[in-house]
Amino acid sequence: MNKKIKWDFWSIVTLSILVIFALFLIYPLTTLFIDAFKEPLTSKFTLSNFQKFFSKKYYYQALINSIVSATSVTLLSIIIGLPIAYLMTAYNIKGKKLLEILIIISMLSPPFIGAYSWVLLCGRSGVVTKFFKQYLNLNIPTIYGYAGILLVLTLKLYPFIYLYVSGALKKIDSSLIEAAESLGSKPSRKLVFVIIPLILPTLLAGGLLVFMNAIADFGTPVLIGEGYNVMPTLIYSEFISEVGGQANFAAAMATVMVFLTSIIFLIQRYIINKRSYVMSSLRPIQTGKLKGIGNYLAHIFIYFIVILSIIPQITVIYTSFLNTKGAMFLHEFSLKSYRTVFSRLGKSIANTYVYGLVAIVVIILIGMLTAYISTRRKSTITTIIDTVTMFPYIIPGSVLGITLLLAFNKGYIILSGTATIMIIAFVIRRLPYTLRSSAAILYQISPSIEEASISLGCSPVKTFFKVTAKMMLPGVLSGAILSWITVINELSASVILYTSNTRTMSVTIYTEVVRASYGTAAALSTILTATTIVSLLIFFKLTGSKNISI
Amino acid sequence: MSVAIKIENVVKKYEKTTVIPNLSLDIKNGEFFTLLGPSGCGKTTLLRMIAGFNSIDGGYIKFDDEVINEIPAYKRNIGMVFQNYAIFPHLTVKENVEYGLKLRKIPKVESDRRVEEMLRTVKMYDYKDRLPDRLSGGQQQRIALARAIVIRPNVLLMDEPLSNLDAKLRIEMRSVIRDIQKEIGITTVYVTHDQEEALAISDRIAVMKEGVVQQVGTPCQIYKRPANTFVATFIGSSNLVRAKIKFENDDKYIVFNSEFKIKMNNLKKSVKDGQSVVVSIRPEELKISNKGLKVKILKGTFFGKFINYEFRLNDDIVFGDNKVCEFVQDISDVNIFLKENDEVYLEPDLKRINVFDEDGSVNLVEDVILYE
Repeated sequence: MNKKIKWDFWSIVTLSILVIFALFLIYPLTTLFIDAFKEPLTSKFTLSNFQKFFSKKYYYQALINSIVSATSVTLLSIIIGLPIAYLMTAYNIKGKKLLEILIIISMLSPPFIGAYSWVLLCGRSGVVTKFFKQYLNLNIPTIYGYAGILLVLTLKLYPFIYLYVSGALKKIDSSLIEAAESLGSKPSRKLVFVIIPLILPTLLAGGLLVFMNAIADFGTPVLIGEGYNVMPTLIYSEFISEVGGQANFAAAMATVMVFLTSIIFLIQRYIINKRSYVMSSLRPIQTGKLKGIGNYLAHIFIYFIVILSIIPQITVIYTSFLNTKGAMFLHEFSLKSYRTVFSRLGKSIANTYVYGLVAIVVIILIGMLTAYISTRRKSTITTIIDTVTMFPYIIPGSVLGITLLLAFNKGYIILSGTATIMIIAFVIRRLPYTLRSSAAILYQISPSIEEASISLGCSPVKTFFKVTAKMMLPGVLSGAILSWITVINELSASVILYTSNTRTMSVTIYTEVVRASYGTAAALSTILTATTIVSLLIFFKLTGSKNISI
Repeated sequence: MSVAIKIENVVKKYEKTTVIPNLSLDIKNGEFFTLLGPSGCGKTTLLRMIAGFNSIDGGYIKFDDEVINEIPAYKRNIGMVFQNYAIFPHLTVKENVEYGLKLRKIPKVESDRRVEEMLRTVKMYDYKDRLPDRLSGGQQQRIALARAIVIRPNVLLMDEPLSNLDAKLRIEMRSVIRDIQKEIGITTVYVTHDQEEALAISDRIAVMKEGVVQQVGTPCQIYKRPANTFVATFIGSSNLVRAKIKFENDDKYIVFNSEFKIKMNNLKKSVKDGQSVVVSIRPEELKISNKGLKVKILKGTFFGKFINYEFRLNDDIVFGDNKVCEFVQDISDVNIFLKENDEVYLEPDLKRINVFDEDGSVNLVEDVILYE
């Protein structure tokens, strides 16, 4: 409004946030893209890195694998998630509350725990494999490769579809269905002609979210994929094998990856903008009763899926209390694994909590302030910030790790190997959850509440902390819980950035699994899962709701 | 303490559009002053400039003799009441009212006394420890009013405070606001688009259109002698009819058609013979007669105390696009009820009708007050 720039609190906040994002996101990303077009030794501009990628089957096969597996996971998640969401919303399903919590837990536990416990169960020397071999003389199909990735990621990601779709279903007012029926639509047709079209945008959005998660996942394919290379594992191995050398080829692959995810992200945005309906439900759909065989089938289906998806957690917890001998679990209970963990790997637990807490404080602070400036102090700069904060959605964790490492292992700011770089990665990567939920609640708070406070003599900055921040808190928390849980479970960026001093639980679980130290991995996983569940329970207690914003 | 507000040549621009080109008003100390106009006329913009939420892009706003242009909102000592109440949802009723006093570091004893007195005035004392989410709109607005007044502001600013309430509550709250304002004697600027509310509540009204003040005056002055056809139709309703001025001997006549003319001797001296004019006649200023304008009845609507008729003039002399006119018939003094397609003569009350120039922008009657 005023031509002269006023150096008030909010313009300082705006500039600081801009600087933070420029330094830790834009600059590293640009460095990466430039590196991708450089020749390793001479630093001349070239397309040879890309030529190399697209001419050797070993490389481009990973891209194809990534797309194929992510697409299959997405379709399978929809096939599983959609019916569960519909059945749970429209009908009485016994134990609904417990089922919902189990679904959320299976979604929020780290995917590599799923991969690793399926290996424990159905791997070459897994319990189930041995059982079939010994007693039935049957060879069960291999869990490694494409099938394993599909199994683990689907069971981990279908909850996104479930939560998205049941959220949309809850917003459909039953009068819409009654209107359809009064216009002569048979009850069986209402599903096809009313409900499906109304939830379609949500379903697509959820589907693309699943796709993004599946394609960016590192932990699952690295543990269960074996020969089945996908982009994140290929980028990781290329990058690690070039330590000390030039990372230009890894940078080129990362660029290809970011290009792919950007396209998907843009499609998702386009669909959401184009085809979303505003619905507010005064009278949500009443739950009905399923009768006879249908009722049994619905229960069997839902319980089967939910139990299947919670099996990894149970396996991990169970085996963590078993005595071990090398890579083998013995048939006796013991706390040996925990003793080993606390004596040898205690540092990683402390690191996880300390880094996690620092990161979440920074995330909440930046999230709230950024949400505020971009909803209440709109300007060109806040629009730029808004766009930039979307980037973490399209940058796979391993790529983010590489960009940060490449940018800060030389030059004026050297951060490689420090705790700071780990925390920066956590903040950048998991800020969007908190940011989005903060912005969402701000849109619900009328600006006149702030004006009322100002008119009563409270300065704008004081008003933010005294009134606005307090009113934002429930919304902020619903995003922060997700930021927190994903921070402590974060693997794909940390695995590139960690050193022996800054390793976290996730990284340690991964390295322990790689060196076949399954007992300690199980104990650490149990601690991590327990932390996740306790955090969730505290959040549910605190807010009195089961809503987390995804 | 309560102040007078002087608004001098104030300008407001958003990007390139000018919302208020040049506006001046004098609001007296202690008066209830209403900004009235259709949506988008700049009334809320002006109020928010007084409050300090909108910048002032030209001219001055003064509280008594102090220019407040550069004083930030939170230092202006204003009390503001919002359309959506803007009650702090995380504070109790008492804490809401206390909010401004705490910021002013009023001693606890004094503060408690004032909050209690205020809550009793707005009849919300029994609710003092409740959280606001369960209170009705009317109750929330009482708290908002108490919270704004308890700090003893220089001025009380109200932005459509009643428009979210239902019709009955609106009328009740209107007198609550009016009574409290008179009791405390605080300068109040009130924004509304509801002309009936403005007439009922105000000491003076400024009618605004497109950022320009059309007329300032008491409700009675504005209703009786509107400055132009915009005011005439926005405040109450008026039938607008084209006619011509004719001088005969020393008298001035308004000629509607070959059959009907009326003598009007209260017209301004500037009026010329043969001049085209627009005559504004309110529905209650017409009565059935044996002479006058010949009309055909379209529809009658029974309202109890009166009947409202829609009619069409036989001659095409109606000004503007809406060719359907109205008149009301008081039930108490007639027993003729008109039916659809009846043709009657309607005679305007020449003491009460208004005459405007050809484009409706200037009232040609002598005793018009544009700005009081």
